[in-house]
Amino acid sequence: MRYLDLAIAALIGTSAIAGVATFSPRQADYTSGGLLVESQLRDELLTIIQRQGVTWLILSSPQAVCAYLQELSNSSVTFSGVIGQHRCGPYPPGESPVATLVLDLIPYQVLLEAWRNA
Amino acid sequence: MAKRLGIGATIAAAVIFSIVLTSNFAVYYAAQDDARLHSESNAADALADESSASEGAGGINILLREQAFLGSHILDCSSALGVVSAEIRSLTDTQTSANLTVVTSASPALRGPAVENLSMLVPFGGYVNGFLDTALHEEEKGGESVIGVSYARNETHYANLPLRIGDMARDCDNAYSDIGHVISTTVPPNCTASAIFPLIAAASSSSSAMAMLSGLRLAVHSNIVRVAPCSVGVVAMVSQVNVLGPAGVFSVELQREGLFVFEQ
Repeated sequence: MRYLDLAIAALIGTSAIAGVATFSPRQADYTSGGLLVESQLRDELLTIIQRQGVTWLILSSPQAVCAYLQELSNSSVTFSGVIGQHRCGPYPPGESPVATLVLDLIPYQVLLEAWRNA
Repeated sequence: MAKRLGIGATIAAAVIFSIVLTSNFAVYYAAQDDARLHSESNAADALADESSASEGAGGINILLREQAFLGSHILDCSSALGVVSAEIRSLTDTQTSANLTVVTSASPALRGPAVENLSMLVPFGGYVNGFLDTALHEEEKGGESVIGVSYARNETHYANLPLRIGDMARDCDNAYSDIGHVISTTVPPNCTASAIFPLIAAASSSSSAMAMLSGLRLAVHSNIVRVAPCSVGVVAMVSQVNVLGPAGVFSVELQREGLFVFEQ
């Protein structure tokens, strides 16, 4: 009888721990935090275009646009992009949230990216 | 006694772990709700940001098409304004992404705000009296169906090309009319270049001065086509050079040509 009690108590405990582990709120918190960062980064990308103007992307050489993005990058955030066929800056890391903004311009497509550095 | 203790311990474990589980579920569902709200908010924010960028790109694409048209056609002065207006009305641009479509259509603007809130159209944003002004009508539709966010917005923005197309058409037409007037009221001593060309140059001088004041160039080319009756071919041409457009500087020319016959 004692063994039966122990078995039942162990079953309840194991089920409870498994439930806590499975339904962890941490994952949802992580998702919310990631979305917030993504939103802030996208706003920063939009600010670049608002400040410089869309025409700047057309009249400047891809190298000049890349140099500007590199200038804006710092220890906490990295900006990169693809201007037509020209890619500049590093590729975004797979694990952190990345904000993107795409502009389909007649001469070429411009893709701007931003992410927080680890 | 031991049996009672065992049952008590089991019940106590059940109660304690139930409380732990219930509390965890409460936090879990609250976090899920929080994540859902963040997802909706992020989706709405992403759509708004994308739509702003698409509005800017659509507007500049319209101006690029205007520039390409104006830089590659020499229009007749008398019909230039109508032709340019029709061309502007025919222009559309569509920006498409996974969640959003922004269709921009254009129309000539006769009035509008000098300051444009879509700052990414800089330096072409806003209405400038005397320039080639365009109203950009933006129709935006989209959404994230998975999380139930929909987006629809219609906006009008204003942009300009620093091109004095109205002044160009006016100066060109005036020069042509003045030349026609002089030819119809003057009897030249003979039908030679030395007798005819100074008359034509004098006739177009006032329009030429007006054009210069607007930063335009007026040139009149003439040639004697026939001596009897004295017939002169005239081409009045107005140009604006170094116009800044979204694709760089360009030049625009309007002209009007015709044959005038002196009464002798």
